[in-house]
Amino acid sequence: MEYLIHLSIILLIYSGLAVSLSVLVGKAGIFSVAHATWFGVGAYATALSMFGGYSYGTSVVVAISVTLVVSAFVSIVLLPLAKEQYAIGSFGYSVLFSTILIQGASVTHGTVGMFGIPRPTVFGFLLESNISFLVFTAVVLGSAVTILWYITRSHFGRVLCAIRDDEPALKVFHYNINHFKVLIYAITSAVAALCGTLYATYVSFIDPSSFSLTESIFILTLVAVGGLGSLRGSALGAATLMLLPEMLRFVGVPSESAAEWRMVIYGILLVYVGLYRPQGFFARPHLTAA
Amino acid sequence: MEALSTATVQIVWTIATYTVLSIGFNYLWSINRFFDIGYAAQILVGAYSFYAFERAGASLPVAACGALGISVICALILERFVYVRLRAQYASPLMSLIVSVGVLAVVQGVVSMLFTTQSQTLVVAEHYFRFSTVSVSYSQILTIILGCIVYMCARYVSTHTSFGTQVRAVQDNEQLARTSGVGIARVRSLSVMCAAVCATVAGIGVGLNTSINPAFSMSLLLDAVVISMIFGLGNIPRAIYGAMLFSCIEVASVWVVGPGWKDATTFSVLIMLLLYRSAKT
Repeated sequence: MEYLIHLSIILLIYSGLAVSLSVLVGKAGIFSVAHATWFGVGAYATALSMFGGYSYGTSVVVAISVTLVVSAFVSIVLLPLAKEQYAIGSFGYSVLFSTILIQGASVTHGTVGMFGIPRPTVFGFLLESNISFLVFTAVVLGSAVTILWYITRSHFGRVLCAIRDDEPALKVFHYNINHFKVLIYAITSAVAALCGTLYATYVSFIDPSSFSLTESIFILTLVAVGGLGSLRGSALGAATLMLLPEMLRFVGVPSESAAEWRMVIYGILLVYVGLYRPQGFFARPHLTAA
Repeated sequence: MEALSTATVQIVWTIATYTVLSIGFNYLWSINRFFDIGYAAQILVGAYSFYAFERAGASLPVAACGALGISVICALILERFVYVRLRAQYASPLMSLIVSVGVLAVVQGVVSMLFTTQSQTLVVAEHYFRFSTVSVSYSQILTIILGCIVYMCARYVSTHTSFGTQVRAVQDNEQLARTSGVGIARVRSLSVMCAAVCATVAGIGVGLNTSINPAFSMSLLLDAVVISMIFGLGNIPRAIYGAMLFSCIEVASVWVVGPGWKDATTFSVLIMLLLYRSAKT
C-alpha cells in the first residue's frame, strides 16, 4: 500500500510536468527543451529557502517568483528565434543551468546534491505520512492543472492556438504575440517549479542529474506519447510511462537491465507515435501536432 | 611554452574532430531539414562497433572498416524504415525531432545492454610521439589526418561533383530538384551514408582520445549543431571555419573560466550568435 502511495505521488508530480509542457508545446507551439530546468529551479529554490529557515509556504512563493522572473527573461531572450532555433536555444539554457548547479557547489552542493530537505508543514500540520503528502499533492497539482485547463479554454488559450497555427495572420489583427508567448512560458514554467517544490520536499534529496537535459527530453516523451496539446492525454501518457518500469518488473526483466529496457521501450514508443499516431496515444484523433 | 604547444595540438585535434562532425550533420540537415538527433545514434553505433571489433582482436584498419560498414548499414536501415515514412507523412519538424529522439533512445538502450553504461577506453590511445617539447598521441595524429582527408573529400564532392550540386538542389528546393530530374532517393541515401561515415570517424576519434559511454554522443551532437549554425546550416565547405571558431572558444573558455564551464560558455556564445543572426534578418 505504502509503495502504491509513493508511486501515485511521483506519478502526480510528473503528470503536472507533462501537462504544463503540453500546454506550452502543444497549444502555444513553443518548442522548449528546458522544462526540467524550471522543475529544478523550483526544487533548488525551495530547498535553499527551507534550509534558510523559511516555511514551506514562503519557500513556494520564493520558488515560483524566481521562476516567473527568470523564465520570463529567458523567454524574452529567445523570442526572436524561429521554432527549431528556439529548441536549440532552450537546450543551451538547460546546459547552462546544469553547469551552474554543478559548479556553484558552495550554494548547491554540486554533484553531491542536497540532502535532508524537510517535509512541508501546511496550516500547522506536518505532512509526515505519505498519504497526507499524496492528498496535498493531489490538491495542489489539481488546482494548477485546473488553472491550465481554464487557460486553454479561455480567449487567451484560443489566441495561443492561433499563434501556433498561423502567427503572421494573428499579427494582422494587432495581437501582441510576444506578450502571449512570454506569459504562457512563465505560467507553464511556474507550474513546473511548483512540481519541483513538491518533488524536493517529498524525495528530500535533489541533485543536478534530476534536472538535466535528459530529464527534459523524458518529460517531452511523456507529452508526445500522451498527445501534444491534450491535457488529458499528457497526464495519461505520464501515468503509462511512469508505470512502465513497474510493468517490466512484473514481466520478469532483471532489475540490473531494467533502465536499459525502459529506454528501448520509450524510444520505440516515440518512433511509433511519430510514424503512426502523431496525435499521441490518448489524445482525441482530431488534435494534431504543433 | 610546452603548455602552449600542447594547447595548439589540442586545438588542431578539436578542429579536425568538429569539422568531421559538422560535415556529417550538415549532410543530414541538407536532406532532412530538421535537427536530426539520430545523428548521435550514428556516432554511438560507429564508436561502439569499433570497440566491439577491437575487443574481438581486430587490427585498427579492420576495426575501423568494420565500424564504418556497420554504421552505414544502420544509417541506411533507419533512412529506409523511419525517415522515408516520416517524409511521406509530411511530418512536422517537431514530430521528426521527437522520432529522432526515439531513435537515439533505442540505440542508447541497446548499447547500454550490450556494453554496460560504464565508460570504455579504446586501447590504441596508449602510443605517444614526442616532437621537441610537444607530446602527441597516435590517435590524435590519426584523427587530424582523417579529419583533413574527410574535409578535403567533402569539399571536393560539394563543389566539384554533380552529387554536391544535387545535394544543394535538394536542400534548396526539393520539388524543383525532382522536376529537374534529380534522383531524390539516391541523393538522400548517399547523404545518409556520408553522414554515417563522418559520425563514425568522429566517434572513433573522440573515443580514442578520451573514452566512450552510451551518453557521450549527445554532447558531440550538440557541438555539431552549434558549429553548423555558426556559418549556416547545410554549408559543408564552411564547416571548418565554424569548427575553428568553436574550438578556439572552447579552449579559451577552459583556460579562462575553467573546464567545468566549457559547455555553458559555448552555449552562451551560441545563444548570442542566434540572437545576432535573427536580429540581422
